[in-house]
Amino acid sequence: MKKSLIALLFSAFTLVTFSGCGTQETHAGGLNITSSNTNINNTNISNTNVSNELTIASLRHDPLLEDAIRRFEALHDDRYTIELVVYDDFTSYSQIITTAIMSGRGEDIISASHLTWQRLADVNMLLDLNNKMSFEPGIYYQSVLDAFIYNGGRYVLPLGFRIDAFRLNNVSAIDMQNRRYFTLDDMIALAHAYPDECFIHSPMGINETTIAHRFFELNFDEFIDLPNRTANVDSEKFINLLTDVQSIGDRLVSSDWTRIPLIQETMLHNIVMHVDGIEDYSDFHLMTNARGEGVARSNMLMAINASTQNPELATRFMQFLISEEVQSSPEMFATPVNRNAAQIVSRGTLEGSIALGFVPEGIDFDTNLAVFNAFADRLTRIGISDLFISDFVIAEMNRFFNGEVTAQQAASNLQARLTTYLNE
Amino acid sequence: MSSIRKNITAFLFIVPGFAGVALFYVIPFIMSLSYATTDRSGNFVGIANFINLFESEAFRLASWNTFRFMIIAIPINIIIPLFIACLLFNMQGLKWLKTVFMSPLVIPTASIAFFFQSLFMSNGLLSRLLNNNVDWLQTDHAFSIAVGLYVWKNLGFNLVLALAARANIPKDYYEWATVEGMGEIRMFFKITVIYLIPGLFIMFVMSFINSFRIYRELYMLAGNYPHQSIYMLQHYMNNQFLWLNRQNLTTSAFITTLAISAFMVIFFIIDKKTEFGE
Repeated sequence: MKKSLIALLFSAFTLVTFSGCGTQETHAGGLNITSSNTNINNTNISNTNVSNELTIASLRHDPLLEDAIRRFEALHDDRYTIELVVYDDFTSYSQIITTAIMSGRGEDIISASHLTWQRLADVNMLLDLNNKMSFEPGIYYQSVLDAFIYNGGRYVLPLGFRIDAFRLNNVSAIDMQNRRYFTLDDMIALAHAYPDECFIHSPMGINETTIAHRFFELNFDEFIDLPNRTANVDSEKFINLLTDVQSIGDRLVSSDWTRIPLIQETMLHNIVMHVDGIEDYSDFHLMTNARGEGVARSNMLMAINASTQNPELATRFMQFLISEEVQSSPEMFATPVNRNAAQIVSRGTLEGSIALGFVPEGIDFDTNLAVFNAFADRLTRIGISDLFISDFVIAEMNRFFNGEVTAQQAASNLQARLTTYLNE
Repeated sequence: MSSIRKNITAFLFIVPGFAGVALFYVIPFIMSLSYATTDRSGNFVGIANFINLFESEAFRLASWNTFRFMIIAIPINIIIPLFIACLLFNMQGLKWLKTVFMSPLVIPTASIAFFFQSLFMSNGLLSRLLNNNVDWLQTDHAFSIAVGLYVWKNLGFNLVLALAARANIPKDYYEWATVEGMGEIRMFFKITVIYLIPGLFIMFVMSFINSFRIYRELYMLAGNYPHQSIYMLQHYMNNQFLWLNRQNLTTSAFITTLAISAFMVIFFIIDKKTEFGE
């Protein structure tokens, strides 16, 4: 009797404990989440928004988004409430957002720059913005917007972009045919034409892997077919890429800044760029593949969660993000995709630089604008946005350039890893 | 009545444990079958997910690597401890070696992974000894490293089992064999091995279970996407979880459970039919 009573009490206690593992929703986030809006509500990630509320997920503090939110709310007489949820940690952001989206939850609009957004698009977790947003001809850098089209859908929107360009100090030794773009073959030819010259300077500390990686990106769809999940790196083209870059690898001098290099690498994120006192872009060439196609880089990608309860408002806000008003904000730190805004921002930067004495007066803004626009119109590709693929490529390239493996082994290893990854 | 009351009492004591197992294992497993037979939109697709799974190169690679690891690593992890147990049992003054062999069992997984990384990464100890710059975990030798890691970590556990089983063999048998003029080697195969078989069976089952746990060390050593020779089933399933591909995850989990269950049924049938040691 006593034993039965003890057993009964024990069972009851345990079952009550289990039933206490309750029905409270756990939040998608919870790791270092802060909200940086006047309407602070750290736990509002459950997508039970009514039609006048919106949530936006951002990695780190984003002044441009905060400015856009303030302007949008003011423009609509505060009828709408937009909350910016800021995640402080890169690693947890990717995991938390991906998990939330794939669970049918998460914020309405997300910053997609550090996400493997193509994978999310493959499983219809991001809203296709085609036919939902308007892109009037001539208003935007259309080639940049279209470069981010994936599998026929527009799943991410770049708010700003950067251009990879080289300033060439001497190109007479190679036949550029009056081209304003610069390919790997041109780089090889220049290196061999000037074997004793200081070859390249880069503010970012370029090395063989970064050069090879850049040219891999420029020819990405010849190596990897993402929509069909196949890889073709175990090919002569990839092996030649590695060996060609290796042939000029000993020429990559980045430490002797007293010598003028043949090539100076820079990123263009402003129509008027002043580097070492140059006054125009006549020396600049766009880094491209053999077809003259360049890479548009953007770390300002925005996307709409397909599970959003408020797609109309989310779409309207996205449209506002690429308007001239927002894109000409002083918080914009890349070239705006809105052409008018790009001119406004650049003229402002130029005038400020002249006023501060950094740049002499008399810079031909319109000529620079024409060169910049010619570059931007060639940006029809994007960099590797799948972080896993990028890591695999960089790892194998590093192993090759460090002498651990031959080019054939690097190609074979990379092919095996990519095939496994793409076939999962 | 007394018997019924006893049964009820016993049942009430069992209920909490059984409820936990049911709540966290059995019920979720059954529920997961619904994902295995539906697509992402929730439409029933029958066995299409299973067909797609077997057509997946990644799953076939993971399955083959896991199977290959088991058929190579498990026998090694039985033979070596058995051999060491027989040596240690007969040697005096070397009992401290038991502690040495047992110590990897108590070292945390992260520490083991760190140790092996320092041995085999591109500027690790092995590379320096060989005067090259090779990341051995990214070469075809990665599989051998995984087998070595598994054997090193689990040797102590099987050693304890083997020593315990060896201690249970009556000394009289050896004395009788010595009197009959049997040599050491014949004694080993005719007496020791025969009477160790029940213990060997337990070692085999535990080694089989522990062979799946190598994933923890491999994950810490080489991440989500290691060299293809050590890409195991758990890598595949963990990556499916990473991408929240519930269909592939539950389908592969179901197939794996079936395969393991089949193995275990075969093991126990063999054990039952042969009735070793009895």
